[in-house]
This record gives sequence, C-alpha cells and structure tokens, in this order.
Amino acid sequence: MKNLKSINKKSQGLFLFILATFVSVKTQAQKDFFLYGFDDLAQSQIVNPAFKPSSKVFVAMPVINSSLGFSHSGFQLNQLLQTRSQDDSLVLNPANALSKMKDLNNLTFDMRNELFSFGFSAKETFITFSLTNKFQTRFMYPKDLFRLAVEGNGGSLLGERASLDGLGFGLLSYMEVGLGVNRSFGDKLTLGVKVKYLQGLANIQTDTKLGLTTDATTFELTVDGQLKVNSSNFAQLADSNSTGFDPKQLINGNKGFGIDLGAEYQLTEKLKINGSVIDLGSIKWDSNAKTYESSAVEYKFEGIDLNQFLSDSSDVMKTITDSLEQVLTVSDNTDAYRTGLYTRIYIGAKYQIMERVAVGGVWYSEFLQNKYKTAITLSGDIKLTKWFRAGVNYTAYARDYKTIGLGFTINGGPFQLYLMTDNIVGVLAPQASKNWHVRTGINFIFGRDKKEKDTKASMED
Amino acid sequence: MKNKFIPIGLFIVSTLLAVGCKKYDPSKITSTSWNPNIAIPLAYAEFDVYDILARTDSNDLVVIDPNEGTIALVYRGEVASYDAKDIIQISDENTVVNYTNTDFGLPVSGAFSGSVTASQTEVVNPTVNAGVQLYTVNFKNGTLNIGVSTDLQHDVAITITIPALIESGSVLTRTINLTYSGTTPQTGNVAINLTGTSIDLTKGNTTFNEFDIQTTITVNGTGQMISGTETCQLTMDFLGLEFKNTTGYFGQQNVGIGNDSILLRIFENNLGGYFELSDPKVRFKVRNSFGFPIEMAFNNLKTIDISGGNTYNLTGYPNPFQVAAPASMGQETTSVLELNTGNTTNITSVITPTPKYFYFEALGQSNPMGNTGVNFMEDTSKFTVDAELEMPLKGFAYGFGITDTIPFEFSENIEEIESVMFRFNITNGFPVDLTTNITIVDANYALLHTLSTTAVQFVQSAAVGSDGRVTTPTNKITDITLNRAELNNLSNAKYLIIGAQSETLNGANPTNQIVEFLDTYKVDFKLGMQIQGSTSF
Repeated sequence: MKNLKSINKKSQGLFLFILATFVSVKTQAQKDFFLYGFDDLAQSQIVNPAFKPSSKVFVAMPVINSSLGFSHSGFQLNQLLQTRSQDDSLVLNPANALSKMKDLNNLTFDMRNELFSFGFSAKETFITFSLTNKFQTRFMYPKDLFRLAVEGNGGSLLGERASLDGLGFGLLSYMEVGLGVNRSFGDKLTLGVKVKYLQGLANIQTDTKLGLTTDATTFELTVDGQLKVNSSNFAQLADSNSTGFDPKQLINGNKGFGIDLGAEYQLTEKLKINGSVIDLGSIKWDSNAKTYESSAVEYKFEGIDLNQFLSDSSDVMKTITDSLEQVLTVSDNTDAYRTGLYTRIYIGAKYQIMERVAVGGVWYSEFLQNKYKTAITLSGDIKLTKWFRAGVNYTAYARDYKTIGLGFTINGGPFQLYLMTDNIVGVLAPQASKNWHVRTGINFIFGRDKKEKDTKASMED
Repeated sequence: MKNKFIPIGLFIVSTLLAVGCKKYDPSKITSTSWNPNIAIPLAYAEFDVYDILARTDSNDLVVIDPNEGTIALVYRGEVASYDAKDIIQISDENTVVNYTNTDFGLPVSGAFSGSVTASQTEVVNPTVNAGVQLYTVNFKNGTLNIGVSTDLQHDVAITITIPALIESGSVLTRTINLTYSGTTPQTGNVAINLTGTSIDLTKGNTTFNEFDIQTTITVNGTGQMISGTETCQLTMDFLGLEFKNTTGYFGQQNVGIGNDSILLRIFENNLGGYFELSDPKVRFKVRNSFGFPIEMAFNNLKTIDISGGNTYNLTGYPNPFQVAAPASMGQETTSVLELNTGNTTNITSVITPTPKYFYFEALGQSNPMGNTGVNFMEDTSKFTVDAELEMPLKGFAYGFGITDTIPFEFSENIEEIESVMFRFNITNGFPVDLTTNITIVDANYALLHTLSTTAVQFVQSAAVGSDGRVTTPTNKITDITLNRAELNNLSNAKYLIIGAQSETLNGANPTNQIVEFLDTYKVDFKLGMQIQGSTSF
C-alpha cells in the first residue's frame, strides 16, 4: 500500500510537471481603466487608495461586488473565423490570426469577489476594510506553437527555431484582507495607503524555455529547453483522492503582504491630478510547496540509427527512449518560494469642464515578466440625472486601439448600483474583441457629502 | 439642461448595441482545409569501410598497412586438412602360441608329480598403411587381451613378456596361474590396458614394424596322469590401438588432395562491370605439424564468372611448392606461397570480370625426396592449406552493377497526404560515384512505379589527389517526390527493386584514374521526409 502511495505520488508529481510545463510565472490582473475614472465610487480605492468615496459610510453588499475579466492577447475570434463576403458563412483563416499574434500570447481569466468591505469617514480620514477573493488563471502560448499547428515544421519554420519559450498555464488564488486609510492634508492633497494581508490558497507557475529547431537540409529535430515549475497546494487540487483543502493549511502557510499607495492633488479648482502604485508585495508559498526543475536539455533526433536497426531493429525505440531519459533529468524539492504581486501604476488627471461633466486621462503602466506595458485612457463622465451617472472612456492598450469602456452608477437612497466595463465591444461583440470585462456591485452608502448633495439639488432645480 | 445628455447617451448605447448584434455564428463555418507541412528525419548512419565492403563478415576487410591505412578485401577458404589418422592406422593384431606335450617333454605314462618348463618367442609384425615404417609408438589407447586354455590336469603357470613394450618404465610381463581343480580344460585370461605404454618396433635399430612376444609355461604335477596329447594354447589380441605419437618413415603418400572455391562476396550480387586492381594476390598458407616434408602442387587455379559462365585461368605461377617439416613434435611450420603480379603472369586480369568464385585444386605428397630422415607425427598432427585471395583496394572500376530486391509494402492511409518528399543527404568520403534506379513492383513483379526514368546519382565521388587518395568528401542531396497519384500506385506494392551502378572516380574515362581506398573513408547518410498534408474539414 505504501508502495502504491509512493507510485501515486510519483505519478502526481509527473502529472504536475507535465501540466506545469504549460504554466506561466505570473498572472495578469484586470486593469480597471474605467474604475479609475469613477473616483467617488467606493470601489475606486482598489485602483487608488487616495480616492475618497462620495459618502461618509459605505458597506459593500457581501459577495455581490465582483469583477470578471477574460482576455486573449493573441487575436480576435473574427480574425480567425472571418465572415465570407458573399454570405454570413465563416471561413477559417489561421494565417490571418497568426499575423495578428505577438511572439507570446495570453489567454487570461480573472475573477475578484469582494466578500465583504466597508468604509467610513472620520473627519479628514477615510478608513476602509475589505476581504477579497482573487482568482486568476492564464494560459500563455507562443506564436510559434500556433504556427507549428497550422503550418507544421516544414513551412516557414523550416531551418528556424520554433520558440515555445514561455509556454504555460498559471494559476493564482488568494484571499486579501485590506485595511485602507486616506487623509486629506489641507484642501488640496490627499494621501492614501492600503495595507493588505494575503493568504495564498493555491499557485502554480513556471519558467519555461522550450524550442524546436528543424534543420532545413536534413530535417533533424533539435529540442532545447529547461523547465522550472513551482506549485503550492496544487497537488491537493489534482489529487482525485483528496477531499479538498485542509482548512488548517489556509492558516498555516502561504502568507504574504502587499501595499497600495495613492495620492491626489487638487491643482486648480477644476483640475486634479492623482497617481497610485497598486499591489506592491509578495506571497511566500510554503504550504505543500513543490518545485520541479529539469536540467537544461538539448536533444537532437536524427532519425533511426540505420546501423543499429540493421543489426537489431527491436532495440531502436528503446535506444531512443533511453537517450531521452538520459538527457531529461528532473529534480524536485519542497522549498518555499515567493511570487510577487502584479504591480500597476496609474497616473491620472481629471478636469471638471462643467458642473456635471468631467474629462480625464490616465497613463497606466505594468510590469509583467520583466516586460513593460503601458496604456493611455481618455475618459469622460456625466451626471445625467440626480441618480444616474454615466461614463465612457477610450483606451489604447497592447496594440488594441478600439477599446471603449462604458459604465454607470445608479443611486437610489442608500443603495448604489454600479455596472461598468473596460471594453463594451467585448461585451456586445466578443468575437471582435480581445478583452471581456465586467465589474458590478451594490453598495449601501450613507452620508453623501455636501458637494454631491449640492449637485443633486441643482439638478433638481 | 435636464435632458440634454440623455439623447447622446442613448445614441451611443444604441450604436454599440447595433454593432454588437451583428450576426456572428461560429456554427456557420464552411468547409475549409488544413495543409501542414511536416519535416522529419527518418534515418541516419555513418558507414565506414567495413559497413560497406565487409558487412557480412568484417574479417573480409584487412588493413594491410596500418601506417598508411591501406586496405584490402581478403576472402579465405581451406583447401584441405589432413589428420594423422588419415596417414597412419595400426590395425588390430592377433597372435596365437601353442604348446604341445613335446614342448614340455613330459612322460606319457603314469602319474606326474614333478615340474617342467617350456618357452617360445613369437615375432609380431603389426599391420600398418602401405609404405609406412614404424619405429616407435606411444599408445593413446589400446588393449592387449591374453587368453590361456589347457587340458593338462596339473597346475600351470604361464608368463608372457613383450620386451619391446614398456609399461611404466618396465618391460611388460604378466603371469597367469592355473590351479587344477579336477576339471579340464583349465582356462585363464588377463586384459592389459596399453594406454601410456610405448613400443620399440626396431629391435635395436635393426628393423621396423616388428616386435617379439616371449612366453614361458611351467607345469607342476598334481599326481594326475599324463596322456601325451595335452596342449596349452595362448591367444594374444591387440585391440583398438591408437597412437599418441609415433616415429618412423611414413613413405611417399598423397596428402591434402582436394579442391575448393572461395566466394568473393564483393561480387556476389553484381551484374557485371570492369574491375581492375593494381596488386591482387593469391596466397596459400600451409601449416604442417607432421614430422615430414611435403611437396604441394596447386593446379587449375581460376576465377569463375557465374553470370557470364566464363572461367579465367591463372597461368605462369610457381609450382610445385615445398613445405618444410617441423624440427620436433609439438611444433608446426607455416609455409606461404604468394601469387602476385611479380610471379603470376595474368593475376590482374582474372579479377577484372568481377568473378563470383576463385577455384583451386591442391595436391600434396609426403617425403618427396624419399627416406632422408626420421618422420614423426602426433595424433593431433595436422596438415592444412588455407587459401586467400587478397585484393588491395587500389585500382579502378566502372559499370560495376548490383541489384537487390527488398520486400516492401505501403498500406498507409494517404487520403490526407498531398505529396511526400524523400531527401537523401549523402556526404561521400569514398572515391566512388553511385547511380541508382529504384523500381516498385507488385507481387507479380509488374511495374507500379519507377522513381526516376533515368538513373539518379545519389552518391557523388569524393575529390581525390594525384595519389588516388581522397582529399575532400562530397555532399550530394537528392530529393525524390511522390505526389498523391504516385502514392496511390503503391497500395499494391510488394517489392522494391534497387539497382545501382557504381564506378570509381573517372574510372570509365580513358585515363582510368587509379583510386585507393583507406580505412578512414566514411559515408555519412541521412534520410529525411517532408510530407505535405491536405486535410479538408
């Protein structure tokens, strides 16, 4: 029985290793471009802790406040399945999809659920508390993987290294307990900070280098690469015999800390500037941590050794598998490891062009796997009625120049309903978009500030 | 003011809804195709001179000069092996000695209580092969059975002595005692194991093939009567005599008479051609552990071209050939007769027609000069004649064709294959060009497909220097593409017939450039395949 368990564990380890071959290092959180423009919504503190809600007290309705995002950086569905000009039939055009891809592409799913949050104002200080469940998965695939599938290795990849570097799938799941404080200093400056205790639930990440080179003359195949996989509590997820997580594991390990910093400055009566750094911090994964690491591999397959085949054909496959086993050695350990949070920087400005109309802009930066990405958002919002506020924004991000966001809030007494998306095209026509995002929720708000009430009164007039 | 922005907002929302509601149904995918191109290596090999020239038996190839790395094909055969027992055999020998009352001198009447003794000497000449004179023999096996029978009614003691036969350092002698118990005839016998005994058959260097048996009988009277007709008979049987070694003069006997042919594997599957080597050799290696000289005569040396049915006789070679005797027992002499361009008139030309066999006959005679000394042999003595044909690979050849038929079946599903391209990538370190014609036939050898209407040059000769040795290998890539129609033809394929024609670099030119093969030459072979797929779905 012990041996069987041992075998099962080895099998699990192998399964994990193979699975984690396709796993990425860091998942990619939502950008929340639109949310940054709705700076008086309680949830705007998620992107800048210096933002003050419009009410003195808010309580987010438990569980309801959620954000869902799905993005695919490679291509839009309608770039792969194109509508035929003569009718509405679809034709598969992988070459077109291929031309839209970057070297490394992501398929990301992100879910955030505010289990509980509230905030209140104490003079110039606003204090918030939140408990959030975050779950992110990501599949990363290199362009050459798609090219291999579409063209084979005998097309444009002949004589080239098909780079499968970065091929992977990632998973990050953790609970975030946040305590935020912001305070106004004088009439113009507001500073905010949010300290977050993080409880990691499960993680898997890889560092994958993998390539397949086909010799243009001899067609010899050379596989090179090195794989490293970190996981925590993942074996428990994969174990069919497991009854699930032991709650003690949630308490005993995988602790982390993070911090959000924000500032806002009222430059003129109508113009304010703000900025924030979100998710500085890390999680140390030490609960059921398992790291698999392969040796650096360079294996060349030249075909069957004819001399051996002519002398004993039965041993040919064994020789190939033996040589593969020799070049591929995998070590494992249970050392703890650390993953950084997905740090974003927002720098924005907002100009109140009319009493009920404001425009703004945000310069967004992110650092993902040592790569810098940036985005520019232009936004406008308007209070259409005393209870309805709507906004629209335009974002240029990741080679996508047609991202339009829409959102609104409806205030009815102590209730505040909001619904927003960074990309309305993604919602209405997902085939024509690379991103799909929705954030929604209901807050209970009390003691809306005087300025807000004045605006409301003027609208009633 | 109150409602000024509402129409704008409604316009934006309705526009976006209109865009989003445009029909896009992924289930309306029309038939499409997928045309991947897959390139894979199939096989590789590095063939050296042994793989190419001596695949069946690596002993066929010999490095004849380790410093230079020059090589030769050497094919061997054993002409004859003459064992000692084929030359000398000692037959079973039976000797009978009779004693009568006269020999004993006993009184005819009355009771006898006295004692008398009688003796005889018997000369024995063992039977051996004609012309063989044995001097000494050490026995490996053999038995001497002695039997006695008498009707004397008295006690009798019989003693047999063979002075020439030494057993454990002493003359062999046995005594058989018969004690009268009231019945006759009285009998007795004894068996003597002769293993390890030795015998001198010369009687002190005066003769050969001869020895004496001395018998003595003593009669001790028991008081019984003497009738006067009593006899006593001794029988002595030498059985199963085998020598361990022997000396003598073994005569002028024919030894090693035989013939053999050597298969020249390099030409085994050839379809003809011209093949000229600069320095071929035929070598006869005679090993002799018999203690006598031998004169060898090699006759009817020739090559046989099976395909043409022609024979080519070697002429002008030295004949006969003397084989010396070893100095003593346990030794062996090796004598070599080499036929080469220096001593054999047409040795070069008999290889030219790419023969399949080398045929020869050998006849040996012992003691060609007569009885000039003592011969010897052991039971393990042997006389063997190994023949070998050595072909140093220096020369030129052209039109050297080979063919082979290989079972081949192609039952793959090719519906999704547009074409298949086979790439032969051969880097040749040999000074040989090779063109090939590959034909695919069905079970009735009906033509299904020919890979090329003309022979394809798969292998291009390496460059050689003025000394005929390779300076630079040459790479040649040959692509053979089969389209879908041609692949369809292969569904009934049963055999692959590969025909190849080779020639040494410029071998067919009037200059007949001489090239030389070294043990370092190699061919690097790589076979790849590129499949153009075509799948509709």
